[in-house]
Amino acid sequence: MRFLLITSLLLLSPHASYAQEAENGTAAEQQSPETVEADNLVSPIGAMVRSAIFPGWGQFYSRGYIRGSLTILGIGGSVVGALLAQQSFMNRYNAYATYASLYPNDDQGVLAQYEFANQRYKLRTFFMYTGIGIWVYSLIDSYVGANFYNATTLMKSIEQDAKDIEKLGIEVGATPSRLYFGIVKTF
Amino acid sequence: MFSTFAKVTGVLILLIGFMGCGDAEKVGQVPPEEMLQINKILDRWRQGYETEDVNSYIGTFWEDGFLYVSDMGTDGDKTDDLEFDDIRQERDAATRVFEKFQDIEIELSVPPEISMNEDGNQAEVRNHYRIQLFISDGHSLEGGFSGVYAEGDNLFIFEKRNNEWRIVEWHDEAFNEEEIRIANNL
Repeated sequence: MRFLLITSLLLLSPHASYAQEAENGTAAEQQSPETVEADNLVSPIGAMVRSAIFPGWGQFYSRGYIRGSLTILGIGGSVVGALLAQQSFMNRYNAYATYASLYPNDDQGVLAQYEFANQRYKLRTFFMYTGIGIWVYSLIDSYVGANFYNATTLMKSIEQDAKDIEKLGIEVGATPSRLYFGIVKTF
Repeated sequence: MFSTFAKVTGVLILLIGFMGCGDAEKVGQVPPEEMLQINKILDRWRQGYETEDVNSYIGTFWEDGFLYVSDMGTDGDKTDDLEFDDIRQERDAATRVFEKFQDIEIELSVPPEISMNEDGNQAEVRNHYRIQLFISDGHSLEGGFSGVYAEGDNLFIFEKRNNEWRIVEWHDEAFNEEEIRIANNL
């Protein structure tokens, strides 16, 4: 858009004289969307691969620090929970097996012991699937997040360009010796 | 507002789904029904031998496919292994022991290590045993001893036939004197 506007202005003012531009503008303000893309945009596939290697890395890569931290916490918590539940399950299962061999005729007691152990097995499975779920979600999230980040970055760049264009003006004037027509940029 | 509600609902549905997990069949673990039956057979095997009830003892084995192997305390030497595959030989051996000894005491480690196959019709059961046999009146042992002590590891192969578990193979890995001393810190 900016390119089109500038081109049309240049075409309309072949004899224009340009007002002096500021020497030190910010880099971002000077960048075209293409340059922004090359410098600041992230690869969605790259983000997903990073998340696959280490959960949360893809989010950090696409500047989603809170989401990345939550992913790490979620998966870390799930792993710790699953390990603790597994340990507890093994203890209870061992108690069940011992009870069954000591009291093989106490069917009800053995069943109760088994149920007691099975509760921990369910808990372990819950944590395990939760961890896997968070990990899969984080893969998708890192891909979508990277795309959102890219879109936001581009949008900001365009907004900045629009602001820059708003500061452009056309100046027409005449002096005793010359007639001038030019573009004025305000900083 | 709607997206928050959708997210919370989604998470709740996932949680309910995950909480339902865990009733699936556990490979390598023994369900209570099988655990009870196997332990009842083991208990009957021990009690049958201790009470010198040969029928009760032999009733814990399947006749068809029966195998008994003992390494005679020399696990590196196969030449002296005792092996028979006829249940009548086991019955005769037990009868001879019951005639010669009284006050038989067997101690089995608990819980036994039980691992089942995927079909759920065969199980490997491992335990450690200690057995003391005291000589009956009118019998004698070499060296004038009044009894015998043995210790080792049992490997039983259980098979489920017609919904009933019994022992089909018994591998006796007996300890030699040195191993017994080490095992008991003597």
